Amino acid sequence: MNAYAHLSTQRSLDRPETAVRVALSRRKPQAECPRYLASLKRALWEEYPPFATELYDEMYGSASSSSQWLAMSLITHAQREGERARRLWSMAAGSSENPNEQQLLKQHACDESKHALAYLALLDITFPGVVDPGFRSQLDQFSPGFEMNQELSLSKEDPVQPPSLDDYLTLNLDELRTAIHHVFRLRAIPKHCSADTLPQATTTLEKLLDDELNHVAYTAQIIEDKTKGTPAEKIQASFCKCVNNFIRAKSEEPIEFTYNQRFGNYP
Amino acid sequence: MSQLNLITPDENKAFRKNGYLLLKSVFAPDEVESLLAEVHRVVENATSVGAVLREEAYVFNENSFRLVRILRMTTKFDHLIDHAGYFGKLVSLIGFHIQLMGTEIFVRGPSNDTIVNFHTDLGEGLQQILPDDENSFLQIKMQIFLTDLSAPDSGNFVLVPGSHRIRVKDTDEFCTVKSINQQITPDGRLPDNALQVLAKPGDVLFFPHTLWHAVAPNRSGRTRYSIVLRYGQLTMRPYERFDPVLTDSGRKFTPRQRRLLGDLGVDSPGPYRPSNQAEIIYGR
Repeated sequence: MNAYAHLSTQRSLDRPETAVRVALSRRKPQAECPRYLASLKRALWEEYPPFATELYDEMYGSASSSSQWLAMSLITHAQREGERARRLWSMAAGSSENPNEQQLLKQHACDESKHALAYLALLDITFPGVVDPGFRSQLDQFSPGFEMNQELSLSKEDPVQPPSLDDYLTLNLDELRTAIHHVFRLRAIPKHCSADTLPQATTTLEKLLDDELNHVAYTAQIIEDKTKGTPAEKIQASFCKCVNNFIRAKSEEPIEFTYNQRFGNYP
Repeated sequence: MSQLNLITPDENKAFRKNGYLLLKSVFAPDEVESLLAEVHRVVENATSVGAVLREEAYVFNENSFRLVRILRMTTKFDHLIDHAGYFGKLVSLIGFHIQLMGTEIFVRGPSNDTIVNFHTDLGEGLQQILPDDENSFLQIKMQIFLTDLSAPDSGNFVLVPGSHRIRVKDTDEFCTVKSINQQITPDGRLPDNALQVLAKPGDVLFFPHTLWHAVAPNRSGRTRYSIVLRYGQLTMRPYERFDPVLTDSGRKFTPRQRRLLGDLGVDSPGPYRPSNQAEIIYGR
């Protein structure tokens, strides 16, 4: 069973944990990360991210039935992936003390750089000709075009400090949320694609989902390593704080904003 | 016409004058038994995973603690959200722009000393906003007693009648009322103007946020269990997020319960002008 088939049958509330378990089971050798899993599970219960609710699932389905909304969302995410690629590249550059982490972050930056183009490819497949050709070619610049054979270099704006546990936790949550968004997208895209283009769109999205799950897994493993020997309560507090901050940071994203407005949640 | 059992003029007058209202036998013995069994189950679960709040800064007893966000732990308290035995009276006092702001279970174990000293609720800022004869209340706590408190020094709720309209001048971040706390003797004897509420299982107490209240010593040999739901104005920050229970597809809430839990619907411009608020709350 592919990841989408597995995740789409889960209850919304169980989806984040299932996504993590699927991601870890795909590592070679298979990873377990018990500290990470236990703390994440508790933090998701305590802090309750909207993206793990059935209502959010429904709201995404409703919003994405609009062609305009989905097209704009794909463009926005192309831009976000490009920004994330640059941020990861900087993090990798600042991780010279740990070559293994550095390589993983560099690979991640390259993946996100490609993802920016993948979102735009999805736009072309799903909504051919919807964007003016001149503007469309400018959108390609969202991707920084990173490759593994490029040398990492620190710019003035780059962090000198290596990434902290909180940085990895935030990264992990972001990947988890993105993976779950791909499940929603895979459900939404058939409504807009022709029978001819649907297989290509589905393959692109499934590849994106696989990559995000891979990112979830490697960041989980780093978190597991970094928390070795730390008291459970301290790990739990860090997770809860990060999930809380993450929810706040995302509180004005389109679906989150509508969700929070409905329930009077103060960001 | 409202379908609610609203407050009577005498109850309203007494509440505004004394700062509390004790409703007798709101819950029948079998209802109390069922609520208490669920409280025990939830407390046991929470204790086993360390999910209890001890609040050592102002709860002076290791046998005492509280649980918060209790609707997330069980569905068996859902009917308490707008129970006919008291809800209408709360609407009378707060107005129909009412919301549920927080849910708690209080556990008050054996103790020779006062368990909690006198304090007010809602923080130092709102401590200075006092009720009067006409204004709607900002917050009212509704406490359901599940164990016998018909004798004093059983961990009873203690209050100073009329204190909700007295401005506190000597306080701290926990909103303690130092002037009266200094009068509590080392052996736990309370000041003469303090009243220990004598309640039976199934009785319900209302009090506003500015009432000076405390918890008496518990020399009964029993642990006191109670459930507290706090209600307030819809535009105030709640103590907890209720979207986890509102988005739980396994639960069936009425439109009124949903609104009390903060579901403003999809057509409300915000908490200041919620759509169809009166109709939903009064059940017209």
